[in-house]
Amino acid sequence: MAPLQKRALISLLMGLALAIALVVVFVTRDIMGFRLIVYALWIGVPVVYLVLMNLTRLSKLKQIDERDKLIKDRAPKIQWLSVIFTLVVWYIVLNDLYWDQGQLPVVYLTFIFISTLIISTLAESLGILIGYWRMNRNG
Amino acid sequence: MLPSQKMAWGNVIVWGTYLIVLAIVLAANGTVLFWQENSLKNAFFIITGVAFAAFIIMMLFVWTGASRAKVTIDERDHKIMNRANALAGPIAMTALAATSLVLGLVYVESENSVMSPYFLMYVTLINIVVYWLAQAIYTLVAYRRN
Repeated sequence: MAPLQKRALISLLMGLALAIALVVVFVTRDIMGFRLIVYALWIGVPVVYLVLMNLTRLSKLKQIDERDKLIKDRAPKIQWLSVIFTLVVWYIVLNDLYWDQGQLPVVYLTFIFISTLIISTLAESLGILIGYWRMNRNG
Repeated sequence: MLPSQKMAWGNVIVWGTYLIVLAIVLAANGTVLFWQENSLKNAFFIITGVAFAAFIIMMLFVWTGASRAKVTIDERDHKIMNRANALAGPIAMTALAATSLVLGLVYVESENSVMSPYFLMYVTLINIVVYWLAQAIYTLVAYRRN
């Protein structure tokens, strides 16, 4: 497994864990220190992303070849499209739920931003993994 | 001029003009929350509609021109497009975060516990427009360098 592929897989698993944590926080918000956990997720997601996708790459730079670079360069498009679709889904769902009131609770802003961050992290990792899978399949 | 360059020029003209016109209209009305006044809301939708129509017409011209001229895309074009996407993504995400932060602060300052559904549409649109603009500007710069 290529170093970039391995990193993408770890990043994907971490992103999934954070996404599950977000759902758990949302479900159990009356029991737990809701605000503190939300702040921890706010900081945790970008830090995990930064460490896995940027900082650790520096030491392994020599192991990255042209194929890795090509896959890495293609992943941001998938990442951006995923963010756009996430926002569109939020817009449709919230509009549908609060159509009669005509206004949305501000608390959703936090969830929208955290989910966008998580989806963005997941999508880049997924984009890299799909890139390797397609390249191995097509040669 | 290559189709990707033409498209980049078209994007810069259409979306650059769109952002400038929108900024002028919002500044003239003294608010970024366009949905609070009906006239401003209509103006926003008309400006956005015209920009999207211009974008589609521009794309059609570029595509038909490229298919008539039978232009082929080589490795260099692919490389430039991939780099443009890689660069535009983080810039669009930063614009999304900045827009959300500014609008969020406007809501907090006004002590609102509710927000308009247009808020999400606004940040999504800004994200898309900034992405296309950043992609187009990088494409033009990259072709010029090459």
